[in-house]
Amino acid sequence: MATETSQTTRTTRQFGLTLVSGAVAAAMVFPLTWIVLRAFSVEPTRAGSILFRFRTVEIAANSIALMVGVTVLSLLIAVPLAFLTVRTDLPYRRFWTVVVALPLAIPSYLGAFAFVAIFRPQGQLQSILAPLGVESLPSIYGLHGATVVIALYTYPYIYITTRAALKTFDKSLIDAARTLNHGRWSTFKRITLPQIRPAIIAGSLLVALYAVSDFGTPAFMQAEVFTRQIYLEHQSLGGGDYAAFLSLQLVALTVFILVLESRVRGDETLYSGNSGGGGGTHRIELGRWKWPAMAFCGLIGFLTLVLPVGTFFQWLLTSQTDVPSSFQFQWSHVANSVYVALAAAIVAGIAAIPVAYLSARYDSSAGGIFERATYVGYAVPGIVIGLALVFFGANYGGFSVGGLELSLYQSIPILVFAYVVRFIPQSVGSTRTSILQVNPRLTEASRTLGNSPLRTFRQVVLPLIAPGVVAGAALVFLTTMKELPATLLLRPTGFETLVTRIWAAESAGLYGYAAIPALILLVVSGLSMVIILRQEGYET
Amino acid sequence: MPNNDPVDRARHSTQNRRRFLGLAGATVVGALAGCLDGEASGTVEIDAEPVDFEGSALTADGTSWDDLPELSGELEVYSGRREAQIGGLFDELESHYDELTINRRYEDNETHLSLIDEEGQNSPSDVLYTQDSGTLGALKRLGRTAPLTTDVAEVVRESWRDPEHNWTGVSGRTRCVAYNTDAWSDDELPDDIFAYPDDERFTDEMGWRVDSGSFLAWIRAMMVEHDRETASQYLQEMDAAGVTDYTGGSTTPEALAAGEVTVGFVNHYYIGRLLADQPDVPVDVTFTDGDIGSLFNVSGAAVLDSSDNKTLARNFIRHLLAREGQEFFVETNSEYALIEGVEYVGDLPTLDQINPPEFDLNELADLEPAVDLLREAGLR
Repeated sequence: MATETSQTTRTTRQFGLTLVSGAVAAAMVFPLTWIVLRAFSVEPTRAGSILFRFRTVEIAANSIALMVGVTVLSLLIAVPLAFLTVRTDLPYRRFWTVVVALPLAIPSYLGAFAFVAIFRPQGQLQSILAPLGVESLPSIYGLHGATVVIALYTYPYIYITTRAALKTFDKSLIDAARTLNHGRWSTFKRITLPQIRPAIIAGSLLVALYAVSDFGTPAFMQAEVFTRQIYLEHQSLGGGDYAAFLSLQLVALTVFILVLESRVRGDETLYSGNSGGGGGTHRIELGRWKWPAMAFCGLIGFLTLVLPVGTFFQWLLTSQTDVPSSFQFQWSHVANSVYVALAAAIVAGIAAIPVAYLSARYDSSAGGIFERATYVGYAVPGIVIGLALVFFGANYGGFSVGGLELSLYQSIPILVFAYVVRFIPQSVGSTRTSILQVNPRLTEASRTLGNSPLRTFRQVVLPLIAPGVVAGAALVFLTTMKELPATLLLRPTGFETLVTRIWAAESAGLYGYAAIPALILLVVSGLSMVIILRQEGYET
Repeated sequence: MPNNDPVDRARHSTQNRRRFLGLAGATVVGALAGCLDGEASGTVEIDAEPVDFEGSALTADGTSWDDLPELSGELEVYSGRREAQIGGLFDELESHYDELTINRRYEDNETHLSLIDEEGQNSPSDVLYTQDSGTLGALKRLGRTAPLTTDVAEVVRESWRDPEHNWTGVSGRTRCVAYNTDAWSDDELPDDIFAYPDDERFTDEMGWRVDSGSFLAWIRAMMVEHDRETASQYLQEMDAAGVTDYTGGSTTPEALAAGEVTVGFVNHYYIGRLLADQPDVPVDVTFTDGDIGSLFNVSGAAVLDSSDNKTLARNFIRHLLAREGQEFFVETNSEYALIEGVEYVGDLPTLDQINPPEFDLNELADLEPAVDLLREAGLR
């Protein structure tokens, strides 16, 4: 009898949760209907000629190559870094931990800009090497250049998730393996790797999808991928139809990746007997290897942080005359950036909880589909999400309250919504992982003690997953701070943020005026990165 | 006729879009047959009668702002011209008139066009102000323009504005051949634009920007002035000669300054500004002689059909064509004035010295054939 009742309440609860989580997923996918709307307004013959031409295949192949290249390169950088900073006695470990996470705070288009300035065939590096007879460097333009730059600025997704997993899994397992005479490599392969695999895959998914959605870097590096082509089509008066088709193909690619990922994700039962960590943790002694290890961290830090920051300082030194006063730096730009990013982080953080909870706790196909659905917007370029919301906002966003005409169009709410659509997967992923780590026996115990499900969630689950929720929200904050295309399209007129100022100055060639907002962006984002790393719990 | 039903308005927008796309399809066929003219835009109904103006008329000598009606109220301008180029002029107008607020949104020309198309009749924009005439032609083809005042036609020559008064140029620029002075001297460079891809001296030495409206308009002009085949062959030969495609307006001038490439095909004012900022850079310009390589094009403006503030919008455009407006373009932007009364001052040659070809910019109203050609050439 009793079990039956609990079964029904459980089903009711699941039903409610499914509804809420479905609503979130629907809201996230909704703007994408615009792409379909546009693609279907194309004449069939024209659509055919667009779809079936060699160039379409070429672009798709390039995009896939970029995605795979970026993911593999990011893995090669991130996993060793995570291992070094968590599991070894690397000198100045805390310093390196933060340094190698920081590249995520730098917009990749600024990174690309610095890279091009320095490494282009006749760039700054070449002029330094010129006395040695170097007349030209090999070209960095193209797919290979874009792959390297995007990987250098997105690997931290894998680094952060892998670190968290390395820190929380039960290290007594390692001790046990070592006692059983397993070598280090064998222990890593048989014990550590399976434990951190879901985290690595979760991070890789974010990296892969970011790679296909990034516009600025491929444009700078002249790589012919979906985003650049979509942009070029929007630049070709009336090319919007072709852009819609390309976006549709991009969405198809994304869905394919998401399905693939859920296949390889496999068993994810992560919770361990105790709160994790515990037991004797032996850091691996690096010995002489600490020098190459530090050199590796140092090289990554140099390439991703020192070079762009150095470039920003160089910009500061360029003097420019006759500049409109609007280019002067104002603190309101910082306040605006933080304001919208914070709003996006809070909304995404809260909206992610039901989606993550359903998919992590209940073995329902709906949960899985809803969770996957929130990822699609992340892979669609900001200009597409932006234009979609321009259409819906301008045409259906008006309403009247007591005779007062209000419109959502070009307002903060629609802008924040766009950010949430673009970035919520980061929140969903992080929250979901933390829910997977909560042992269900704890909630059962709470329920046995007579607590209502909601109370149990609030008093038992929420405190345990809070770090994951906060870390996810902080990731959304950080990426929102960097977002440009949707911001330009949807912001209220005159609403200036750090990135809109960087854009305005940079597109005018007034680099001196781009430097200060760029540096402040780095500092604020850097601080949110510290929050993310703090959520890993106890600092060892 | 005011239309307040959102669904209907959205449908209206979609219809326009379909019409536009239908035209685009027709244009491909037309261009292949080599017989399409600008009159195809007749399918979209536009109001072609200019409206009466208040205050003094614009004159070629340059009417003073003080003789024009005062600007007051809030004006929403979608500007494809960048803040650094044009923000100063907006500021000047705002400080001239206490009651005037100019709300500005800066974006690429084409993005603004997409925006206006998506927004439909709910567009908050009053004026579209662009870097090139092509986008304005496209706006007219979408049926989204409203006629200007009659005096505009009196001061701007017909090849630099819409004959049906739906948009006008406000400032001018020419295509030019910019070069690195360490690598070349003026007399080593051909004065025929088609000589560059053939000349082995320039192999891997050339750069340009293909993602701009200016470039698109330029290629379209080449197709009109010569034919599709010539333009197509030119693009293929340039590609074979290893021309570098840069992104962004000032990237090509910077690449020239760095010596990464030594010859660049750009709008003249980028070089004018580079030289004004850094007088020591080893960059100079030369112009091809009377051919499409020194095409004269305009930045311009149009009033939106959906604007509920058309009088203010029209008077705003008149201010751009008045003396103070024209002087701003010359003095701050190194551009050319469109009215006769304001002379060019700056580091570059005057328009008379350059000898740009006579070209009717209305021929650029439909850029779709150029887009298709660039796609074919693998540049889009």
